Amino acid sequence: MNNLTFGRYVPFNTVVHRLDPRNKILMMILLLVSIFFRVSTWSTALILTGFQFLILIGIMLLAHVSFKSLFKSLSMMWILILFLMIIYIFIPNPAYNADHIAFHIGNYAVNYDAFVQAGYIIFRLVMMIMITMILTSTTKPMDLTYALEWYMTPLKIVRFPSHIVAMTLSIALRFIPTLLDETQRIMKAQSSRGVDFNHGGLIRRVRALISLVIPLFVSAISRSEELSNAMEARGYDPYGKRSRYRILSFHFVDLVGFVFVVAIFGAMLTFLILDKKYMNVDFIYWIFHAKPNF
Amino acid sequence: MAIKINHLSYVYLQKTPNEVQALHDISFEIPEGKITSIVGHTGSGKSTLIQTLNGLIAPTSGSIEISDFIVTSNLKKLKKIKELRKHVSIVFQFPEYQLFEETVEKDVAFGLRNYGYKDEDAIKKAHEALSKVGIDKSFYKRSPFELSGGEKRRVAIAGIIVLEPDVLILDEPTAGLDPQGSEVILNLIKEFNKQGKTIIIVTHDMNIVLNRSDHVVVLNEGKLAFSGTPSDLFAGDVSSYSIDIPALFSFALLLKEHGVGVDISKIKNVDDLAAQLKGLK
Amino acid sequence: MKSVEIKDLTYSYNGVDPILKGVSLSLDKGEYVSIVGHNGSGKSTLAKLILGLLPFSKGTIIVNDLELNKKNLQTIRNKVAIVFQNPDNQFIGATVEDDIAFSLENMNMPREEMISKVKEYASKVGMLDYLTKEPSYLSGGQKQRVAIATALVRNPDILILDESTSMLDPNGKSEILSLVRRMKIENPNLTIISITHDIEEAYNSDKIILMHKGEIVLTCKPIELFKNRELINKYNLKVPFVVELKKKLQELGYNVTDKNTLEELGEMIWQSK
Repeated sequence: MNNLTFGRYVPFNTVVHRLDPRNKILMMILLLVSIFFRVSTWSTALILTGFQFLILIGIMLLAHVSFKSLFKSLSMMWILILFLMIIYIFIPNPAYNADHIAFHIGNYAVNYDAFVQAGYIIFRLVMMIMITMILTSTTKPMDLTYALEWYMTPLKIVRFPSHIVAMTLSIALRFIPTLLDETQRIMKAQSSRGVDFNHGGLIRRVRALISLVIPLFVSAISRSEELSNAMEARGYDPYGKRSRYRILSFHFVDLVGFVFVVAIFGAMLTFLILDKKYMNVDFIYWIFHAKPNF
Repeated sequence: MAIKINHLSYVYLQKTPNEVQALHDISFEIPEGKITSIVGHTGSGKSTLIQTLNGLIAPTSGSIEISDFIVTSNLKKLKKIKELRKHVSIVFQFPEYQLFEETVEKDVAFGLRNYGYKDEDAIKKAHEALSKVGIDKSFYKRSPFELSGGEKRRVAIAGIIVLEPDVLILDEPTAGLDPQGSEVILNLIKEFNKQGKTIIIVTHDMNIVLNRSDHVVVLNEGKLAFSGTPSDLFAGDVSSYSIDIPALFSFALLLKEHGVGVDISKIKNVDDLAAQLKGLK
Repeated sequence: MKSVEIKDLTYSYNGVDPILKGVSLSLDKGEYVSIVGHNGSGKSTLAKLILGLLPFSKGTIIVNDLELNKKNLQTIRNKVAIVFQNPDNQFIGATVEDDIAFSLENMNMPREEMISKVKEYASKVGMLDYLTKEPSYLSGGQKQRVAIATALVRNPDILILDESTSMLDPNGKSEILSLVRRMKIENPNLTIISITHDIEEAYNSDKIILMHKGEIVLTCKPIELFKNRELINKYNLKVPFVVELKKKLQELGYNVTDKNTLEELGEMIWQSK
């Protein structure tokens, strides 16, 4: 048992869970790309991202993805958010409108646009996290590797060992919980010898970390040796012919989902093109100065 | 002073769907200066219990009294937590996986250095601890990774003993060792006990319970199922716990049932039985 | 027919200190053999060599009349299965069904056949209700039951148990031992090689092989080994309780020559009173 629940597969039986993982990966990529469509004006950007956000919320509800774990994962992002804020505020950007001064820190003028820029980036990051969470919490890690292997199949022509890569990946995934347990056990064993992983100066902390990493490494090595013995003993030959127990299948619901996502993607694209042509609205100016210029 | 466990409960992942109640309102005492075994099936709460004993995890409710230390759900209140861990030390299962220093003596001294000892003092004490666990001088400067499984384990135990705890907890100290290696470890434990340490052994091996323990605590699905002497445990109904009654004990019980006047509470090994039979003859 | 024949097998990890020194043995089909000896006596190395997991330079290993070499390696591996000590480190699939299927995928078995085999063997080891469970939700005993299924599903002639019960609690241990016994009854031709420290298990096998420092010291019926005081003392072996008790009673002047079970010994005591 551990506390790292972010993005872990949660075994519900929703439509999203039942989708073909290959299809899910493709759909998620389309959604991710559409998030990063850059439009010229803030108003359009807000409408677009808002629209996407609502759709993602809808998918999360449909897939029973927990909002609580989303908030938890966001709380881990505080440092990143702060970092982005600082960067956007203190690095002068010629694109900022010189009229949009919010306040001064000493002689330095802080621009409204900086906040909006940073906020926009963060908002899109949150959506990225939402998308990945939807994918990982509705798809078994193993199914993801099968899907990746499928996508790598064309590489076989250039003798890329996609099946070996997939096997390596799946074993890595299989052993993550085991190694997390092991980490906890070693941490406790070292705490019993007076190690404090949370306090103390840099040198102490480095030493504490070494006392964790080396044993973990030693045990992982011995595990991998036993594992490779077990695999070989059961007749595994990476270059031999192997049949497959798991097969992926594309159902009608996958088609529906795919069409839906493509439709969203298409709508976004249209929006983007239209925006470039017709809607040059300076939304930001409007929101802060309450005098729309259109 | 005995270790007092009062209405101790522990819940893993509280308020999540995966919530598991590992310990369920248990109260008992662990006698001072004795060897106590804690037994129970996998997942019965044994590991959780020992980890609360030295404050590695905080109980959800209830308390533990060990000397001047009182462990409660609020560990932050217990300022001397590091002191507690020195007073009550745990040798975890497969302790050889905690070794990491480049030499045996440095590894044993590691704990002391965390408690602020100077290098020379720590090394000196490490040598004492190593000799207590029967590790020869010629090993001191060698890498712990070169040693055999049994030797590594003894070094790891020395790494705990060096802290001079009054209460020593060992989680499955003989797991993975051959009978000979197990014997060495068990004799060490007996020796520590003779020097006045309170010993707590978590084990599946009922022969350790019968031959080596003064007191035994049985946990079953997070609840206290038994606390008393080994002979009272084995003489009672243990069918619902993961317990094999040792052959020696069932044999003695069989004799008693057929009217042979053996005192089952005094039989810890086959020699005891033979001595009693001799007396009866 | 011989199941395993080993002649003059020598092996060392580093080329200097041999782990095995000229080991020879011969096992009949359907035998239940226990290999005992201290850690480091070379028992597990021997098991790995039979499976062709380690390269050896001196000696021969013949499994089912087939010599172990590069050419026959896969054929032999399909006939020998092993269950290792650590339940976690041999669980390869993501779930119980995937893990059992892994063995079959390696044999390139058609999918339909695999599906029925997976179910069949999961039910044999009593894990049918756990097919979709991941290893972190299983107990050690359950994982080892799956490991036995993954071994037997390949229909081996030889099953090696390399301290398979040593990391389990008493429940898990008896689960596994009774499962193996049941499998043996179902398939009497299955040769079982059990590397064990559990002296009671060894006592109940057909044959016992005692190893010490890379050599086979003795191969005999279990009862003969435990009768041999001299060897027991020399190799510091643990003896089954009944053997120990017999010795003590003999010292007390009881006549124990034809008494071999605890019941017989007990009866003798309470009748003598």
